[in-house]
Amino acid sequence: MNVSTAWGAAFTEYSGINVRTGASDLTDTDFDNFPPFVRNSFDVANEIQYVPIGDLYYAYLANNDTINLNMPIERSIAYTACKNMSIPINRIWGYSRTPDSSSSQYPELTDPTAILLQSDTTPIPIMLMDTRGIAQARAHGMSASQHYFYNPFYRTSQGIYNKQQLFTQYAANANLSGTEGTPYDNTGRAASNKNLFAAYYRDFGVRSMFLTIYVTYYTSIGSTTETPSGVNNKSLYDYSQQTAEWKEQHPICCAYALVNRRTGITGTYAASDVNITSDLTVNLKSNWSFSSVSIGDMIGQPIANVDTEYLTPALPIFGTMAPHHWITSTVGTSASGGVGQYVGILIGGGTDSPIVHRQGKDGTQYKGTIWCELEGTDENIELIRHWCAAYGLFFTDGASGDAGYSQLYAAGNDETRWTDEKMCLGVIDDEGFTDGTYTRGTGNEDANNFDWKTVSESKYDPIKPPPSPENQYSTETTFNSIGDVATMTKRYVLTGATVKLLAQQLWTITENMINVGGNIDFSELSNKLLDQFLTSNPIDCIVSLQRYPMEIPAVGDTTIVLGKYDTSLHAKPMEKTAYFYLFSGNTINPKFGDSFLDYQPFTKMELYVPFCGTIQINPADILGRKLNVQLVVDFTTGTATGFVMSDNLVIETVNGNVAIDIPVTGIQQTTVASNLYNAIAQRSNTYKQEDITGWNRVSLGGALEIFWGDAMGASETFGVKGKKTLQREIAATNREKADYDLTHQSAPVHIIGSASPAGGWAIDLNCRLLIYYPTGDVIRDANPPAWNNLQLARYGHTTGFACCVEKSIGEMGYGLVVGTAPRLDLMTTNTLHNPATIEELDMIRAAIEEGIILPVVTE
Amino acid sequence: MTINLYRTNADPREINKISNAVLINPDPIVIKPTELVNLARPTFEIDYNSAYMTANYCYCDEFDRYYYVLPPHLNTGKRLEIPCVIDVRQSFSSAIAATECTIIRAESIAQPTKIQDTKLPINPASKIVTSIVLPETSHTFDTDANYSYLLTVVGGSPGVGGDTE
Repeated sequence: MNVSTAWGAAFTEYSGINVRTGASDLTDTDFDNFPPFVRNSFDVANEIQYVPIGDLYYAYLANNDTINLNMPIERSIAYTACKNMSIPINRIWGYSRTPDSSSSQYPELTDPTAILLQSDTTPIPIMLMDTRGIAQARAHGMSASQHYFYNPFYRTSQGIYNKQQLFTQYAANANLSGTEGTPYDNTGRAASNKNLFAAYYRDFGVRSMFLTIYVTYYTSIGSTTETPSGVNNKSLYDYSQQTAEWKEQHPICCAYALVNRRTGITGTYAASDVNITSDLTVNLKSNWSFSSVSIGDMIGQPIANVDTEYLTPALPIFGTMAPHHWITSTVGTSASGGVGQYVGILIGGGTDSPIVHRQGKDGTQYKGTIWCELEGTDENIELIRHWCAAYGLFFTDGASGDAGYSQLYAAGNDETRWTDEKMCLGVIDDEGFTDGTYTRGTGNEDANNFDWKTVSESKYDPIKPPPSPENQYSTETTFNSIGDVATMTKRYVLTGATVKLLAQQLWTITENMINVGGNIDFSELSNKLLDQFLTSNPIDCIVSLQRYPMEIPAVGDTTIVLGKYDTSLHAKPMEKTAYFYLFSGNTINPKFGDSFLDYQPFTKMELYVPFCGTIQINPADILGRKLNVQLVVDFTTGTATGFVMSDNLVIETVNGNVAIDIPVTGIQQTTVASNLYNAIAQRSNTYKQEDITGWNRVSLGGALEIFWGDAMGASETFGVKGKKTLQREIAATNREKADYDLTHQSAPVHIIGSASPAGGWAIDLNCRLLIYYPTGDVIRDANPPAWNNLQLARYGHTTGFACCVEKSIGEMGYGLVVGTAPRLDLMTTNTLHNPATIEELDMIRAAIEEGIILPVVTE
Repeated sequence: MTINLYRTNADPREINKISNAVLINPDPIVIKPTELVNLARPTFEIDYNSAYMTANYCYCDEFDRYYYVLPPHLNTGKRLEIPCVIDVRQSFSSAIAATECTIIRAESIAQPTKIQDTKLPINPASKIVTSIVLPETSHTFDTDANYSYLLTVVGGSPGVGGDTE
């Protein structure tokens, strides 16, 4: 099985970016745009599903090969923990233990640099697990014992970051079996043989990971919880895996142990069905298998119940976060690798965690743990703290001492450690949610969860719907591309010349269907009209004809088809339903120093938008901002919508019409045929009537031929019948009228649409902001206006400029100052420190409100 | 107590009228009150001196206060009665300068602010009209030459003519 190929394909699915198959490097832009796990769901061979939690994704596996689906964990506090977070990756490389852990050929793989936070004073006991590699690998058929793991972070010793090529390299697979260019072929190789297929990312989206805490639990509880035995440390990632061991790492289990640590609950407990205290009841079964868990008020709450497939992995459990024992067990002792000083984000690691499957040039498989390294900047450290805090647990900045990480799970319940300045506690709000904030030191005592003794003290209720998100503020309006609208009509872009040709055809189009030399077969004509035009009138095929003041985007060449009738007139098929046109302006600057005169009602602004008219604009909405207008022209309706934007935020909309409707005229063919048919029939009747009355008929063929020829075949000559009667004269008159009617049939005209005014085209085709400025003595009459500085200075000298400043009068510097509500006290004194009388205080207050003139200080 | 008489052309609202005031009496004028002297509105009686008639401001050292001089009265025996009223601005100038308040007008602001000023001589009915053009970036619109007609018709077999979709 070509696992790597599957991975590559899967990654394409995951990331939404193209995995390149060529040899070219990805650019920085590619990585800036790299959005791991942008898809809301993922389904590979129906084996796995990802449950979106905001931007966070979980993948779950059950029984190694079966994917456990439908995990409604949206209320996980991890939602707030990981939302929109990302980890800036500074340096990452892998670690290989076997078979050649010391080979100089793979130096960057042999260093067990299980370091995320390169600071020995800030161990953050938390792991960030990459769900991607694990889930993908298993989704593609890996068994639990084959923890194939995709590591996106590779760096070559030459600093060659061919990034995305790693995927294609996996996909090629041949390289994995030993040909040139294996991902680990770096140092000591010829240039042509170096690792050109490393992948490196500068930023790793947290949404492709989930944060899991590492907790301590006890496999055996002794007579007192102060002296437990069988200490184990597991990450809740394992728990989420729902493997055979997952129940052991149930957070309640962890919480139970941790509660004991925190609260000092004591008691004797058996290995099953134990009531620890009246507040804490754990139904223990063999092997710590919690098929149901009841702790205090948590009874009945469907937490982490495998039967209900209901999972709340980030239930705000109370207690402490555990240290990093996994480091020593996985990587080695601190002495050997120095890693004991480091705790942080682990990608992979742990005996149950995914390990990297590597295959060297000789085909040997390498297994190891991949670590990533996060630069130990204050900013990053603080970021990690926020992540930790999102679990609502205690965590510590201390490596040792009273608040050392060992104190998180150490025996005893003294208050000192929990209020140590290095001890932090994630804040849980009244609803039981966290947002990454934390308290520290004595501030921990103010936290809701400081003294929690039972899980039920959390107000978190997984049954409740999640709280409404806070308002999402944005300063930018997003425009959507308007896709093609599939219409039941056809639209052609024509030139003016083609329009004229089409108009001509509309008057003659039916003539081509009639055998001019023969008789009119109305039935045949009708059939042809219906067949070709789907209607009796060709002109009825036309819905509208519009004229637009621009070249309508159109591509290709085709002929105009009315109904099914091809006019052979060439036109372009329309390309898009709507188009955006941008009217771009610069920043609108105030003219009066951003004073009140720049705003309403003193200054008024109107914006003219072509085809849409003029709208009032509040100067306060656009001053100091860039004014743009996006005009969306809808070619289906001919309408235009102008979106007035202030710094990319739409503040007004205006509507209008771009297109001019052109009426279309042509013969109403049905009426023509109908009238002719009636006229001919009437004429035939009059002839017959005349025959009956004995009128000596003369040849009328010539008259018939005036119009449609001898259509009725009535030109035969009859013999003279004899006597004239009054009836004959009447018959003759009728016949003459029928002849006249037949030869004077009018052609009825049909009109489609009506003309619309073109006046909107006659003026400005650009947007125009009209500004109406006030005038006055202090304003210089210019266009645009400006201050008359001389008059302005005089005004300031005599009256002062209106303002609203909270200062002392002296701080205003010089000149006239008028204050209000002065703060005076009874010890307002003069230079000899004589206090002012109450009368004088009143006078001082009045003086300040009337105005004080400060001296001009000359230097 | 003594008083000094000044002549000043300062604005009554100034808190530093003395800096440009002219001292009229070369030596402090000694006052020996024989009646009650109102602190806020004292009247000082001194020997007449024609120069004193030009005074409009005065300082009393005993009270450590400055006063505006009101129209004096010439009494018998060439005695000059000078009624005064206190100038709290000058008398308590330092305290006033240190007083915190909401400043609603200030010359030093130098130009109008966003706070509406109803005293500013503005004629809102008279306007200067100007405009700013926001051009269409791709110069698409053309009513004269590069316009198009759009014909919408019924029918057309699928794939025959019409829109590209």
